[in-house]
Amino acid sequence: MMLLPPILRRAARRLLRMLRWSRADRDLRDEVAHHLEEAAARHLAAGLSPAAARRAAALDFGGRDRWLEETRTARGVIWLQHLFADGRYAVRQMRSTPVLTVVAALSLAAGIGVVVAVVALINGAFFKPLPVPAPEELHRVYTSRDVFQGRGGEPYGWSSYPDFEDIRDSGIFTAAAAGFHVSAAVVGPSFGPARRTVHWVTPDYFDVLRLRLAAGRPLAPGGYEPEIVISHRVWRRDFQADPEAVGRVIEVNGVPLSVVGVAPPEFLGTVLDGEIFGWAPLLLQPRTAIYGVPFDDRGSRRLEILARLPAESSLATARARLDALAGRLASAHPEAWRRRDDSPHLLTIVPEAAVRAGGRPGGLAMASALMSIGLLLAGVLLVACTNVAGLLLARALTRRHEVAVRLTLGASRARLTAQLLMESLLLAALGGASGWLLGHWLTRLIEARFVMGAFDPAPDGRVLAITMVAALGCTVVFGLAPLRLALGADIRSALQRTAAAGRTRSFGRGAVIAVQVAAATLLLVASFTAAGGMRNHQRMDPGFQMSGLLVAQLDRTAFRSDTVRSPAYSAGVVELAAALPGVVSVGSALHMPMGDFRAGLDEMLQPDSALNLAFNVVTPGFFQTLELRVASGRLPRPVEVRDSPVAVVSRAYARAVGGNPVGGMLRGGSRLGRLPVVAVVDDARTHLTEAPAEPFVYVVRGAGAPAATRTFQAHDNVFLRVRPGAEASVARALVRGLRQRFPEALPPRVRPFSAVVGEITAYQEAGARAAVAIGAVQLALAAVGLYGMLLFMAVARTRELGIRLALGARPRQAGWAVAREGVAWSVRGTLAGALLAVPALLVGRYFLIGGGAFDPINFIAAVLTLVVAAVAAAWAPVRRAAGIAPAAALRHE
Amino acid sequence: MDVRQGTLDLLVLRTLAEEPAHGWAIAQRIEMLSEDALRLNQGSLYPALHKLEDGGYISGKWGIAEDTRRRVKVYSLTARGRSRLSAEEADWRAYVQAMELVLGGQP
Repeated sequence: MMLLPPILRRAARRLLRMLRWSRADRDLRDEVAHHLEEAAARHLAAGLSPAAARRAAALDFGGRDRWLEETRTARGVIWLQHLFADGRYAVRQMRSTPVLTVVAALSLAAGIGVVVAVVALINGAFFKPLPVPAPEELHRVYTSRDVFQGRGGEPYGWSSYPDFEDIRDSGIFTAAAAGFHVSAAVVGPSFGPARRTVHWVTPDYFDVLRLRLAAGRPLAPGGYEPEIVISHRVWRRDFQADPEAVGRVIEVNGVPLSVVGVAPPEFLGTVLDGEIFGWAPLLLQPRTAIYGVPFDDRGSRRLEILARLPAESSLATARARLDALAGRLASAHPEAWRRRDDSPHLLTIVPEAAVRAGGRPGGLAMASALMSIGLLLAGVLLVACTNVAGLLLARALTRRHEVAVRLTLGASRARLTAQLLMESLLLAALGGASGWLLGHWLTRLIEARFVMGAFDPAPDGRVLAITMVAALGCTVVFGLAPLRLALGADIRSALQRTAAAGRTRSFGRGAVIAVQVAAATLLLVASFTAAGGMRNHQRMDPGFQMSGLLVAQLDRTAFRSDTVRSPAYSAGVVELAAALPGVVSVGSALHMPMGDFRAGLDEMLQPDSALNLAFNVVTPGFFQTLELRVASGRLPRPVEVRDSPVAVVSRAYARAVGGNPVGGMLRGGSRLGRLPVVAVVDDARTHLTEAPAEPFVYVVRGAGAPAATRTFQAHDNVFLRVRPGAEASVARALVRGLRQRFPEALPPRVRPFSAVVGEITAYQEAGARAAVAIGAVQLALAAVGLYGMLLFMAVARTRELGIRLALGARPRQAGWAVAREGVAWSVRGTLAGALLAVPALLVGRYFLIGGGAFDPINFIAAVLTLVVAAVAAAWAPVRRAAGIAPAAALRHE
Repeated sequence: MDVRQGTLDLLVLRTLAEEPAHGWAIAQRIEMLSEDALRLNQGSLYPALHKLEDGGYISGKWGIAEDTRRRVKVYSLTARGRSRLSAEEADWRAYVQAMELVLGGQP
């Protein structure tokens, strides 16, 4: 207190006293009572009777209560008392108009809730610092990616193990760790073989993070021990928070690992990719996974490097030293360090926090995404706020008379402002608090469905601060317009109760309604179209026969890189399936049609042209099973591809390269060599949207060809064409047969192909559902806005309408008089929204599943929905206008 | 004669310059020092006291009165109050002198 400058000291003292105002008030009364006693005692000594002495003392003092009040004012305590009084008054006001209050608070809560949820998710994913000591020292180091397919290489590629060792030992960093994450077949204490993501890290990982484990110890320094540190969530859920968990043994891809530690609860890992099961030694990896990281191959770049820069060294220095290191590496290892365009690779360093905030590839996309999300949020909040303003405006109007009377009686404008602002603040608190709760709930919902342990989106202080600023700013700024209306009133006209007819026709308010209605129309058309697209996609022509098509998704992870058992499993499944009754033909493919076709492409094919190629690796039976027609050439027989693969291309490929490609050669990557092109087949749909078919290459190989299986990833999709009605029995028989023959494998999922498509489209479906939800919220907000506007007009024109009714107007005419302007603006908004929806849909059809067909039905449905909402919103205000009793209206303030 | 508006602060500060006192005693002392020429509107003392305290010119402490053994609030002058007192005293004397010059010119 002594260290503060006097002005602050006084302010602090005043604040302290205000906080203890009831005690201060008691003290003041005590002080004055003492004065009066002393005065009375003196009068008593002068010979007055006790009663007369007290009277004389009071007389000397003057009006006691007046002086008490003046003393309180002098001390500033009065403010606090006024504040409480204003609060009580505001609560009473709100309780007298419950519908209005609830609607305004809900409108605000909806706006704030969306802001909280989105800000919390963005904050959790990108801006929360890692929960480790000194997170600002952590950096990621990248080796630039190769130039590929005519696209410039980017600076943020992974690194090889020898490069990591050179970077770690360069002396630039205090410590460095490397790792990569991949899903593995894990057998835990409470579950059988299941896919979990394991982060394979060098043993320094926990040292670099300076992480204190919740239990046990970090990975042993050598890095070869068969052990694992599990995440806290896994410990709680899968180990039932067993205190004896450390020391137990689990199986990862068939290799037993003993649990040596449990990560702290707040640490969810350093990769944003689903829930991390645990951290296991990277050097153990060749034994436990299909993709062995070749530790001695400088050109095999699969590791992400995390390093701690000493606090005192700058990023610029580190950058310069890394450049020098890259130069040395490029001259020492020209083969691995020369890119295809002959430029050397580069090393890039990025702060960990910046990587999370999008300083990586796609950083620009991230920034623009954040920007558009921000704009969208501002829009939602703006709509919510204008609604609140509209409602407050209606209320302010009903109170103009009251305010005018009080002004006439000498109330200060400052006091009235404080009182009206108090109501806004209370509303902000109410809306903000419910918005906060709503936001929390939304965040939990989104977390459970989409985030799934990848990061912690729980709102923190930062989110709370943004919420409070939004809620306060919104209500205070938008509470000002009603304030001006109430206080700026010309007292005489307000006292004479002349209707402010001129004020009711506000262009601004009408335009806000129109914009809201337009947005609602646009969103409704979009959501109806999206919903329609979802229904359509089942009927869509995928380019191949969907009905009667079963797919078994095999997972060979359990066989790891076993070059005998793994291909034997693949071949065994095909053999078993082909022998089942009801099966017409069987073929397998590396990628699921309509899934992701580009993974691993750069290792497989090196197209001569800059074609945007998609590819799949299939067995000869694939084409027959999917009933893809041959356009030219001849499909290979299984025996022809047993030892060396061939290529089959799509019509789109043939069109793209021009001429008939059959008989030519396709240049494969180092793993495939040159591939003869043997046939052209019809285009199959590669996406669920209406985007045109892409040039497609099928690498055709024999089932379980050893060379191929080792190269390709751990999944196989075996397709079965079955006779109509035999789907269920074939699926059951296949699962049963596989369980008997390969008990150690992860059980395959056998489903109709349409179900797989449903899974692939789950995200788009979620997007469509989100569009419907946003449309519904926007519809509700527009309805609330309309309600507020009409209510305002009904109130403002009560007196005028009363006169008209008294002069013989019909109630219906009075109702229409109120509704007319709202209807006019709504119609304008609907038209604008519908017009905007046309170009939006033309663009959207490339992104929407089912093609986002341009369907007038969707427009009609959207407009009808809006009409219903508008009628519902207008009901109460119009009823109010129509139900005006002339006699009462003429007395109305 | 009633205490003129605006002079009460100066009177309070001057009184407290002698020794700390509670409200009643301050009122008594003002009347006594002026030989009962000044009559204080006693209630007005309290807004003035609290304002001065708020401004940091005087500080109030609760204590026990020696004679009545009652809880009383005793005010004392702070350093800030002392400098304000000397400034206002100088102002007042200059003012009185000027008034005297003007009025002294009359026949």
